Amino acid sequence: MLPALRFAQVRRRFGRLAVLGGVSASVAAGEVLLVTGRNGSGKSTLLRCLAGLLAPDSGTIDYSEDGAPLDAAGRRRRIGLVAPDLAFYGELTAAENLAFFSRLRGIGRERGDELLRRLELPPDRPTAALSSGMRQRLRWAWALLHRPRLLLLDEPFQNLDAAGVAITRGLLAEHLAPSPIASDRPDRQDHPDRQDCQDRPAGPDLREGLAAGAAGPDRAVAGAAPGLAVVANPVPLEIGSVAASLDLGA
Amino acid sequence: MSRPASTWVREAAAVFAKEWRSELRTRYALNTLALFAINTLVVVSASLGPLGAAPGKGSEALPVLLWLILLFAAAAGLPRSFVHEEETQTATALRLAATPSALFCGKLAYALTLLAALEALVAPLFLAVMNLDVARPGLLVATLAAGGFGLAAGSTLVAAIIAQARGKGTLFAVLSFPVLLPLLLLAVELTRGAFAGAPPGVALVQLLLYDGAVTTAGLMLFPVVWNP
Repeated sequence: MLPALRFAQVRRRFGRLAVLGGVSASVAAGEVLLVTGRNGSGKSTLLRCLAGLLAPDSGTIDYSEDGAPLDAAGRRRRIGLVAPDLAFYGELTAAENLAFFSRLRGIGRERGDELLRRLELPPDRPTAALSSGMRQRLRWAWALLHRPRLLLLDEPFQNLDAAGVAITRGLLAEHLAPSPIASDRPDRQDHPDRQDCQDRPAGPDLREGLAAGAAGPDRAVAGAAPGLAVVANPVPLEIGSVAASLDLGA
Repeated sequence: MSRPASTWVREAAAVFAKEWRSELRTRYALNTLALFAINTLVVVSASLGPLGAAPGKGSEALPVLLWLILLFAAAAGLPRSFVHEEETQTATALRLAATPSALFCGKLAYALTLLAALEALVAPLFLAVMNLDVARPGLLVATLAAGGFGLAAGSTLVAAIIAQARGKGTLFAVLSFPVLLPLLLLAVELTRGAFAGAPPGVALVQLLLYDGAVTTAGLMLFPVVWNP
């Protein structure tokens, strides 16, 4: 059974400030939920709630993988997160950072080495000496390390140069449609009641990512089933790849 | 979500190895603990020891001074373990990848080995500069081991609690006082007994029970403190 994320009436306040005022949406395997809104509208807060890093004041977040629902602790372990406030140990190299998290997750070092190569990151340079763009690439590597089914991407292309954007878009495309013969949206029938999302077909930029090598023998996101993603501040992700959108407004 | 014991041990070992790898690169805690301990030791020995005062003067107070040196050196270096994770924003990645109890035990093992190294440095120096004879060396070693464990466990737990708060230094002092006070009273009593040749009585058992209680409390409280 393919993974699916559905959240309803999620509310979150910080003291007197209501940041999320009842947000609902859903996203299925192979799809991207695009979260838009002005600065301070709660995009990052929503992603932190979805990741299990922040408990909503009210509302429900339902996420299941292989038919099994996951609570906040389960989501924390399974999701992949790219976020501006995600940092790594500056005194350790990029390879050492990924090796540490690989060990925590019970993954071999090869996976981290493969991602470092795909993202063109210098393995032996201390993380503190990486440029901001390189650090963003490392966030991507970290997020994909355990082959998550659900990717939560907050400003995922921040600080990336054109090459970095192309690489990460390829990885995202690969995550959403890991096999060229996989259907773009294979589990549409599982979500017939999606009323809060604007459905759109998968766009050409995802297919461009696949064509650019994401589906080749050097694939970094090797998974049998398509994943799903929630993307906040997705510039320069083309709107054509978005299956649903959620505007948090001001 | 329950996880196999082997997975849990692997995670704790990974955290422990990472802590030491980072520490050996930066040497922050090692330098802080060692410099603080040696500076305090020099001041104490110049004031009360054979270098500065009559032999035997204040011998009742010497065990207190030994544990105060260890306490303040630990307070200067150990809280950084969790505070640093929050300040450098590495805590988010840890929250998403590590089992909380395994993380706590990995950090505790790191604090314990760091404190053991500190004790191995300070205790012989303290005995030497104070010209002290230890009637029961075995009891002293047991006290340092059990007291060091309790100090590491209590400090790790308090460090985890204060890591996400403002005014971390003040909070550490406020919270660690009630947590560590029973430990210090027992450790001082046992150390005094080791110097004088008195039997440990129930104090050693009480100290071991304290260690068990603080570790159990840490394992139970940490996931609540660590996660939303």
